[in-house]
Amino acid sequence: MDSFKLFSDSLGGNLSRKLLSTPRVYALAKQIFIRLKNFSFEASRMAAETALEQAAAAFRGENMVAWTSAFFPSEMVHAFSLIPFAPEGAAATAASLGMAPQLLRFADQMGFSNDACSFHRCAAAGTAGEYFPVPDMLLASSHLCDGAPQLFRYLGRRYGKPFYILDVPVFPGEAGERYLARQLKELVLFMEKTSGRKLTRKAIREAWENSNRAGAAQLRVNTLRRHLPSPMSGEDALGFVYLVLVGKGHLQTARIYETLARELAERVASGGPDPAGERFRLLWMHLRPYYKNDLLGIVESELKMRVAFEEINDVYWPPLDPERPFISLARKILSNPALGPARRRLARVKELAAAYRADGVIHFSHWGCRQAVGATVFLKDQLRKDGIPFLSLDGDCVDPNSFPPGQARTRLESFLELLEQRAG
Amino acid sequence: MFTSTEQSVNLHRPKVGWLCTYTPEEVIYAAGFQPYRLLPDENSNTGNDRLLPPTLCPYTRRVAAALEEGVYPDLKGLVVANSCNAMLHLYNVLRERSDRFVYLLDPPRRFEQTAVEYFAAQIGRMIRFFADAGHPVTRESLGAALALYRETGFILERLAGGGNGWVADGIGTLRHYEMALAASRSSREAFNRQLGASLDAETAAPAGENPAGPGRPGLLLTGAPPPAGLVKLLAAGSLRLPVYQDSCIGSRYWHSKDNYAGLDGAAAIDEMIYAVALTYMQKPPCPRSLEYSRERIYRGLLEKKLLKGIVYHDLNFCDLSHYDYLMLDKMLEGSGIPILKVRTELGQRDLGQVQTRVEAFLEMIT
Repeated sequence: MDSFKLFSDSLGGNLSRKLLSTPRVYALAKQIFIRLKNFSFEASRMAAETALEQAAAAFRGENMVAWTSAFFPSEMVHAFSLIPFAPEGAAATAASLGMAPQLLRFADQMGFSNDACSFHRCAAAGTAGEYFPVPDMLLASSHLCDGAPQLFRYLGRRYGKPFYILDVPVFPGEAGERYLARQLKELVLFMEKTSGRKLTRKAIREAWENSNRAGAAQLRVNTLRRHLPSPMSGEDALGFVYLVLVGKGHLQTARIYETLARELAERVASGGPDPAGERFRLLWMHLRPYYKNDLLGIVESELKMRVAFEEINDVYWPPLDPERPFISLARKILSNPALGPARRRLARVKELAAAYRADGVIHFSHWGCRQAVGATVFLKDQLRKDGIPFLSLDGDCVDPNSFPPGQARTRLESFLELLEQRAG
Repeated sequence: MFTSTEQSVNLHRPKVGWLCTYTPEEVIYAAGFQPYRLLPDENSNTGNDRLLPPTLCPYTRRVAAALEEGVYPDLKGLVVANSCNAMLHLYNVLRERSDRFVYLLDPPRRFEQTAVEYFAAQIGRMIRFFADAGHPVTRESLGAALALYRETGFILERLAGGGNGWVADGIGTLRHYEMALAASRSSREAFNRQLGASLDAETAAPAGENPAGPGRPGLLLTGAPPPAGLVKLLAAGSLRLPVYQDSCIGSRYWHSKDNYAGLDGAAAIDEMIYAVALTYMQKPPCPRSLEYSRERIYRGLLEKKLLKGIVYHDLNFCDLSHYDYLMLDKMLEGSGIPILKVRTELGQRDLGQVQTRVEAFLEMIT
């Protein structure tokens, strides 16, 4: 059953903001996406339900809504008890509902260049088409992505709503931490003024502790995933991206990862899945396509190359210190291995490949992403020196017309042959 | 007059390549190097997928290809600023493939006090790097460099005759562009001498092009750094309109160095470094800015009624110029000021394709 098609068809293909604001739609979505769907893990069901409930609250205007870019520290949003809304995530949802081609055409008409990131083009078109909840403020950060902060400024002007953009330096260390921590303090003043709410020490402590609790549970999950054969598919693991985008600092995120850790521990204790389904193990870099496709099915089920771990699920940061909230949050942001020179990312990829005993690395190269795609030549050259096979799989996470499945299959089969040759 | 850049390069100083106008040339100079800006010409190779993917900015791809082809054989090293994703990836490639030193400088995208302090720390870090490489920057060498670079501003001010703060006034479109190229690649002493001499020789623009006279409505060339051919097209076709060049080979390069006043004497080196950081954070910003400063530039031009038309150079695969264009286009709604978006990959072939459109646009506004 295609859940997204069923949902869209049930609404007559009309997904306007007005319609999405109605309780009936969420009852329907809950029925189709949560109750009728077979989740591999209870934690996956909880994550889907959380995303749906937060979207419902945002559309209904039950609380103030803060739009956040992909790498913005969502702890700040939860400390203020605001509802986070990630337009880049909404673009992925739109793609899964089959709406992306129509939104991308609309973005063209709005003057957007077709070489810009399709997440951003869809997000911009979604606002113009009134598909999304109206923001009360827009919050973005500059790290990793040139386009997101510019998009948020554009959207802020479009809505006439205030926005704040964190300028994240590329070098960790005292100067960068101080610069970023001062901006985080300024951000508090901005959010207090915009929301009319006062940030208390108690609220900071709660959000920071929730973030730490989730991070600790996620580390347990990641440790369990080192088991052979892998107790979790890449398809399932990439489904937690919503929590990566907006979940940090929220209590429910901690509960979801704790549930997942418990489920994985049980799975590992019971011997895990059939080892025959795992001829090779992979490290997956960047994201995946969100429109209807069977890329991961081909990789994992058909070619039996199990995605053992994904770059986006990496816990690379040190725990936050609620007594030094801004410096420690700055330190967390600056510890991102993808920030700055690609040598940092490379070093982390090698560590992960070793830890998860990956036979190879696949980078899904989202066409408009300068940050991720720009490093692929470098990564391929460097990993080759270490004898780690690397495949940059060109495609687009949102635009189905920019992903030739036949070509992808051929390249995956060639990659499999390479792994087989190496294995002897 | 300013086209023969190679002849005026200081042969006693090893050359260090740089790309982004947030790179403080003064500091490179103070370390004993000759700063040399890498700007690909229109006949350069766009590179191939072995270095950088085709979805990255053509400026970085062309520079990477030129370096690989040995176009810049005598560079001692490179300073790459982290201006955008593409520049960072250029750094990654050069760092691994080059046998010269390659240094990454991280200029902020905000410009308030804390950003200036951060940038000063980054400049201090670069100075330590130079010192470790055997090229120390001393209080005396930095003081001398600041004085030298400040002098350029004095001469330009006299040459341009004040005006709107745009160097275009009184200098001429093409000469303005060529001067920026020359200044960013030449010995600054030699450049200042040339510039000073030109004060005596000719104060007016070449005959038939862009007469002196501040406050005249004109054409704005903005967006990503334009290829020389586009500037030539505008210089030839804009008749007697001044062309305000808001680009990294225009006003973003010719920014005030007034913060260096009084620093060439007994100032502490930290004070000088701070003045450099402040100067670069106060310069006309490029589209990477996260603040409202781009809007202020455009709004100022609109309010002063200085614009008869705008040519926007939108570099392919450059997210920053792309969003800057969208903002400007929105600001122009209802203003009656026409805008022409020109997309290029900085190559000769692109110019052939845009020539007719540019000529038609200029006919319309002149």
